[in-house]
Amino acid sequence: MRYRIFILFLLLATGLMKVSGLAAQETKGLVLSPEVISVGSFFSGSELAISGDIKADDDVIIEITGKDGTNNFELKGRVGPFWMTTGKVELKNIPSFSLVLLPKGKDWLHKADVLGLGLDQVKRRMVTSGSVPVPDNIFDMFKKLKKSEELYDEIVGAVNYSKTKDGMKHFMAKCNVPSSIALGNYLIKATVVTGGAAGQELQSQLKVQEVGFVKFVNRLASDQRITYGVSAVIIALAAGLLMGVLFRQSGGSH
Amino acid sequence: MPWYIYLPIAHHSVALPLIVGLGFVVGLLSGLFGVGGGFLMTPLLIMFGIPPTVAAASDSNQIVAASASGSYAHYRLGNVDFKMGIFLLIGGVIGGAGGVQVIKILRALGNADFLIMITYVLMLGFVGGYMLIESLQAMRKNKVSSPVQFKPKESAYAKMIKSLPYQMNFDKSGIVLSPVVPLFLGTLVGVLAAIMGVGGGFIMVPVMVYLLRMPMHVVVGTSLFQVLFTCINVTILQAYSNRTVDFILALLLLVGSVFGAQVGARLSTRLKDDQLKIYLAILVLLVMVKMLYGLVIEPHNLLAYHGGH
Repeated sequence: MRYRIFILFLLLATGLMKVSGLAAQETKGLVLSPEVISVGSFFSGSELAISGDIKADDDVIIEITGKDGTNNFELKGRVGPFWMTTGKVELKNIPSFSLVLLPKGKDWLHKADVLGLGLDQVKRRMVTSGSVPVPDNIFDMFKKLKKSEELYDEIVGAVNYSKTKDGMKHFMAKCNVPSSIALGNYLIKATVVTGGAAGQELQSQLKVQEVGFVKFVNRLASDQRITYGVSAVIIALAAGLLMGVLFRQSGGSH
Repeated sequence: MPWYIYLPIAHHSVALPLIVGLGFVVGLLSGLFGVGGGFLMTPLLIMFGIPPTVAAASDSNQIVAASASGSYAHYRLGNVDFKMGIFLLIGGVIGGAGGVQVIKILRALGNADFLIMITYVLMLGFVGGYMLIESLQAMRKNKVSSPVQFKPKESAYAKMIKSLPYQMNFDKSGIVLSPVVPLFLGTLVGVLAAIMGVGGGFIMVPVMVYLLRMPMHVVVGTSLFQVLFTCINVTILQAYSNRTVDFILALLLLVGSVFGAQVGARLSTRLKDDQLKIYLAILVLLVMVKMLYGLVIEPHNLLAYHGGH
C-alpha cells in the first residue's frame, strides 16, 4: 500500500512539474510603463518602456502604431528657376504614428521586412492618388517627412534581453514618445519571432491623454471659441498696457 | 523650473527661453520700427516646429500685446497720429476682407503659396531697396550741405494728391491731405496683408513715409496703433473660425515682446530718422533674401503637408 501511494505521489509530482514547466515556457503578456501618457503643461515627450517574457530561443519585434488615416500633401517641383507646388497627393491608410523597435543586429531591418512587419508594411498598405503622377519614391519622401517630426522610426537595438532562466528570457524595449504625438489610443504589438518566422503576437494599448490646464485650454478653445478669442485679446492688451505703465516712470521723449 | 512647456493648440513642446527670446526680438523690432514683426516671427516659429496656421494666428495674438505696449509708449511720446491711424485702419479692414476673398480665389487656382512668396519677395525687395537707397542719399546730402538751396520740383503724384477733395489737416503729422489717400492706401495694404497673412506693418511704414510723407517718428507710433487693431480683429477671427490661436504660445511670446517693445521705443528716440530707415531697410532686405533663397534652392523634401507655408 505504501509502495502504491509512493508511486502515485511520484506520478502526481511529475505531472505537476510538467504542467508548471509548460506554464513557465508560455509567453507572458506585455507590460507597459507608463500605460497612460498624460499630456500636461510641462510635457516634453515621455520615455516608454515595454517588457515581457519570451522563450529563450525567440526574438521579438515591437510596433507602436497610431490610427490609420488620410493625409493630403503638396508635391514640389522645379519650374524655371523656382521650386513650387506642382501637384497634390493624397495618401490613404497611413498611421499617424509608427515606431518599430528591433533587437540588436544589422539584418533585423531586412528580417522585419520579410516578416511583413515594420515601415515597409505601411508602404504596402498605403493607397496613393494625386492630381499629378505619383512618383515611385513617394513613400521614401513621406517617411522622411514623418521621421523629421519623430513620428515614424525604425530603431535597431531598441529591444534588449536579460539572462535566460527556466528556458525563458525577459525582453525590455525603451523608446521616446515625442511631444508632437497626437492624443488617442495606440496599439502596441510585439511579434515573437521563432526560428525566423513570425509567431505569437502580444498586444496592449497605450493611451495618450491631455490633463489639467492643457485640457482646460483645449476645451475652451473648442467649445467657447468667441470667449477664448476675446479672452486671449484682453489678456494680451492688459499685459501690453501693464508693461507700458511699468516702463512709464523712466520714459524718454523723441 | 521646467525648461519645456507644452502648447495645447499647437500640440507641441517648446523650450521656454527660446520662445521668450524670440518674443523679445520681435518686440524690439516692433518698438523700434513700428512693424508688428509677423513677417519675421511666423517663419521662425514654423522653423521651430509650430504648425504654420497656429504660428500665424498665435503671432497675431502676441502682436496685440507688443503693439499695445509700443502704441502706449509712443502715445506718451506724442508719436501717434490718431486721425491718420483711424483712416488707415478703416481702409485696412475693408482691404483685409477683400484680401481674404482674393486668397480664396488664389488657393482655388492652385499654387497660392508660391504666389504669396513671390509677392513677398517683390514687395520686400522693392520697399527695402528703395528705403535703403533713399536713406543713404539723404544722409550724404546732410553731410555735404549745399550753399545754394534748390526748390524741389513738384511731382505728378504730389499734384494729384493735392487735387483730391476734402483736404484736411493732420496736425500730428504736419501734413494736409485728403482722407481718400489714407483710405485707399490702407485698403491696398489690407489686401496685401491678408494675402500675406501678416499685420501689414512692414508695408504700412514705407507707405506712410513715402506716399503720405509723414515724419518717421510719427509713422512708427501710428503704424503700431493700426497694427494693434488689425491684430485684435485677426486673433478673434482665427480663434472663432480656425481654432488656431495658441494662447500659451502667445503668452510666452508676449512676455518677451512687451519688454522688447519698450526697449525698442527707447532705442528709437536715440536714432535719427534716416538711421531708422536704413536699419529697417536692411532687415526687410534680409528677409527678402531668405525668402528668395527658399524659392530657388531645392527643398530637403519635395513632399510637404497641404496648407503649410
